[in-house]
Amino acid sequence: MNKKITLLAFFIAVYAASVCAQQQSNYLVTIPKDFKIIAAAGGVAPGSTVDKVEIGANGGAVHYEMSAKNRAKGIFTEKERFKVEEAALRHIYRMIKKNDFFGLNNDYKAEDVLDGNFAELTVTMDGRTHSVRTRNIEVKRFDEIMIAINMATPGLKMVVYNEILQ
Amino acid sequence: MKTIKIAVISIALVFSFLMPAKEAKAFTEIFISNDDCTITILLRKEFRVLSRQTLDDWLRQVDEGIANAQAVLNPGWLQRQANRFRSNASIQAEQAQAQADLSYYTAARNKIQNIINTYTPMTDAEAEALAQKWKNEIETKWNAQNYLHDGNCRVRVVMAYVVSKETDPPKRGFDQIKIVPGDFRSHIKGVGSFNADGFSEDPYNHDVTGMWTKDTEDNYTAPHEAGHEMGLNDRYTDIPGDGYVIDAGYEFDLMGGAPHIPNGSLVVESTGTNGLHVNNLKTILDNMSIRCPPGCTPQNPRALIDFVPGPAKTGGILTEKPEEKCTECPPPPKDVSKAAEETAEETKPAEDAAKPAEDIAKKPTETVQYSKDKIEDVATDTAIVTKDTPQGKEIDVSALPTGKGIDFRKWEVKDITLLLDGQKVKPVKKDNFYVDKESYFRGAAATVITAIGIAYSPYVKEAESGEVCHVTGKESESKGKGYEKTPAERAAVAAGIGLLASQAKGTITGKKCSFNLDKNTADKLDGRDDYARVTVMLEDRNITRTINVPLKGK
Repeated sequence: MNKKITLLAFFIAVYAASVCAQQQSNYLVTIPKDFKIIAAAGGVAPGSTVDKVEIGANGGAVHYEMSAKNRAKGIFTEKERFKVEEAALRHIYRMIKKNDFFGLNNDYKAEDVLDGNFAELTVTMDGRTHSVRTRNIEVKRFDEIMIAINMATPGLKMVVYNEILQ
Repeated sequence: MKTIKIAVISIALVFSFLMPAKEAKAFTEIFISNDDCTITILLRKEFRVLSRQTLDDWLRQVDEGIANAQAVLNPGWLQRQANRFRSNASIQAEQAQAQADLSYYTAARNKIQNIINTYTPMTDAEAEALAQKWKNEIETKWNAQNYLHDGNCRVRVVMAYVVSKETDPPKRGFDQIKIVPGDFRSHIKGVGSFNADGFSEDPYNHDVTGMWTKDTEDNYTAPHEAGHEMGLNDRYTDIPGDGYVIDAGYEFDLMGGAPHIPNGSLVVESTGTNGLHVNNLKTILDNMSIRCPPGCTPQNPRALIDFVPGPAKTGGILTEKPEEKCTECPPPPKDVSKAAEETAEETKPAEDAAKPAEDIAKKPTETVQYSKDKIEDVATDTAIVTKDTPQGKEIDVSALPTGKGIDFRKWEVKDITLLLDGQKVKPVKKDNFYVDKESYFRGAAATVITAIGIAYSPYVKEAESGEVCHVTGKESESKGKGYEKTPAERAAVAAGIGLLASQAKGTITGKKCSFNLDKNTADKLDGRDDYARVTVMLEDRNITRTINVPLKGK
């Protein structure tokens, strides 16, 4: 009987330790090696511009712009390169996890809004890739991630759109 | 039975509470002027300047990040980790990450707060200038090609506007447009359900809202958005990742918006590269079933009769047509009473009530009177016909109230009664009649007199004679049978005067009441202390006014 109790206590202790160990890591973030973000936002109408930013796992980032002239063909040209600090990258990663980006639909659109803007985000991590596009509509879980991305950019407003500016 | 009655009443009461409250709606309006064969499409906008950039979600995000990082840096957290079989290295790594994150969030917060603090809203003068610029762009673009609808009616697009503070309550009857900085993208909200012509009636039925960026450098964005407010769809398709495609035939069209065409070349009426002829004004008017009145010939539009959409302003804010001045006028009838808004008490007419409105025609058995009365914010045109009958007298009263500015059509006649020596007489018959705005301004006297009966339309001229202003003209002899008309002639007169049998968009509503007086009551009618009392109401603001029009006696 004593042996059984001792064995039970041992297993409980091991279990508790593993639970505690899991709880310890809630704050610590490790960015996946394949982590990549492509975020874009801009006007829907012909003659409007679009901005795009690509951020890699090492924080290397590129800002692209689509001018009004190139809007018809959807052609981007590189504008600048910059580095996203690790803390900013961690914050973006946290927002992606917190808002279950991979659980969002691919497309959200307001049917009664004409012209206006769109926002697009493609995230690759842990072997998965998912894309979401919104047009003239607030999607809280998506907008939270785009805010985090914008905060990481120089000037804080590289890929802004109406729904996150209000 | 009693139970059933109570149940029915209860259900009715419940439904009355569930019924949506009547509310004024902004909508684009289309007016047809028979007089100068012009069709006017009127857009009304209230512009509001974004007073500050809040970025609340951004601040909330960084504040949450700060709190989470601080929790890890808390001494209590460290103590808990020591009890959890963790290595020092992992604990230190976590705290180092939290410290770096805290620095990041704090710096981000400062930057966000700086954006908020340094946001400078437009001044009133700048907003006014921008609104005027947009008005000019819209009216120039939409009117430049001088489209003739049905070959005979000039069409003009007019934009009325006011500029308000962001915190001001919305003005009823105006589409709400926010003026925003260049970070934003212009849009219109509330237009959908397009038909095969790419047209929607939504802007004619309810409020439209939107945002227009102040930093737009082109001169076609505002006219393009105005096209949506007239019911037109975009003529391009945004293709994710690949740009956009303009609908075939709309390459030069304002609603297609091809930037490779120089700004000045995007037009309202065009022929596309595939030969498709696009005419946006025709699309709008055809879909709204607007036709040029028969017999019209193209004319230059007369000066626009405008409305004061709130406090009078210059530049683009339309002003009310001034009353014609009359230098030798009899004194106007006194404003002898005004119904109080706070109390339901009826006011007795003042002792020194003005002379009765002059009668304009007296047959042996008939008197026709016309009066125009103004009390503060409402003008009422009243016509009264009194006829002797074998039984006593028959009196018909028609009244048409109009307010100022956006309340022009919103006043209605609540009640018409007669007061004979203090005794109230109720009507035996009540009818509504309707008149379009242009006809009203062409001749209010014609409207209310003809509403009583076509037979009296010949007396309109006397009512409108240049010798009088708001009172009727001099007496004239009975016309005998001269004013009898055939049904076709009566219909033509009514159409010419703009009287309508049923309510249509953009019409003003009047009321006509008939009174039968027996001999005893008719004997009281002696021109002293005898009035037609017209009560008018602005329903959505629960304002009531009462006008007492003196009745001519024996």
